[in-house]
Amino acid sequence: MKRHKLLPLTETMHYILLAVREPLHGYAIMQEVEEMSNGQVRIAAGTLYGAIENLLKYQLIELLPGEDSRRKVYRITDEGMEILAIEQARLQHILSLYEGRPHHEKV
Amino acid sequence: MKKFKLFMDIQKEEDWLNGMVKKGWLCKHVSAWGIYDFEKTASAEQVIRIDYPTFRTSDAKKRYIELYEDYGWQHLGGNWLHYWLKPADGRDELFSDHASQKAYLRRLLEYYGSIGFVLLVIAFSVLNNGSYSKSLKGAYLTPGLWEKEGSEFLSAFLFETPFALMRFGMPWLLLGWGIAFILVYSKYHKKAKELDKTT
Repeated sequence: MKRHKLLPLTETMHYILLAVREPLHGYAIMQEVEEMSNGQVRIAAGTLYGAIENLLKYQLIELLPGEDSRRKVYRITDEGMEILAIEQARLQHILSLYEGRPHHEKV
Repeated sequence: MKKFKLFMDIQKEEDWLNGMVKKGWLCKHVSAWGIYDFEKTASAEQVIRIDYPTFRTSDAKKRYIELYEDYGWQHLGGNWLHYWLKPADGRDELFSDHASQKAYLRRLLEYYGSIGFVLLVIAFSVLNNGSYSKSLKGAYLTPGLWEKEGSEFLSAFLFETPFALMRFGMPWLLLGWGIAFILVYSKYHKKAKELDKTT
């Protein structure tokens, strides 16, 4: 099977997707990611803009029709959730290797 | 204070604008044709960044401006290049990860590469087909100009000179510009390669 173009997710993309499981506007995504990463990941404006546009393009997130028209609110889509599930399985497998499990054993 | 200046290399332009801030001159507006509007400032702790975004939709441009403003960046203007100003607070870069820095350089490469390429193609085709650029004398088209004498010659000659210079010089000018764009292109190409090495 052909792997999705955005896989494996960059750290930035990964955090953004995890953050928008709740509807968030752009700047709030940055704040949420900073908190989720214990201050380790501070996404700059241009990086966040590019990531959002990319995720919109591949329909991993969507724009919510907002009451407050100034601030655009984003939320993950079903396709986005699938991508997260694939990443979760990949990372769990890698973690199991860290923990010394033989690689042929299925997680 | 208004200043007119044209830059080819946007890194140099950004350095110049930030150098002006250090000297107490803050750029408050950039117009599309290279006119920078400066105001005296007491605070040197401000930073200007130039971005070169691409927009898939007109809505994307709106989202772009809104998001940057939420971050505290003030839009100084721009059509394809966008100029942003912010008080310096340690979060002064537009890009925070490798993928987006690389994408930024890729956009710059497209910009310099395509303009440089088009300029060179036009310059070469004019140089190949046109006859005015081989000799300056041949670029004077006034009938019987070289047979005229005295003041009659002088006035006809002077009248035709700007046109002759334009006919003669235009393709060479385009050639020079094209080469300059390609040189900037190769500079950013090198930068992109270095970025790959460091990560």
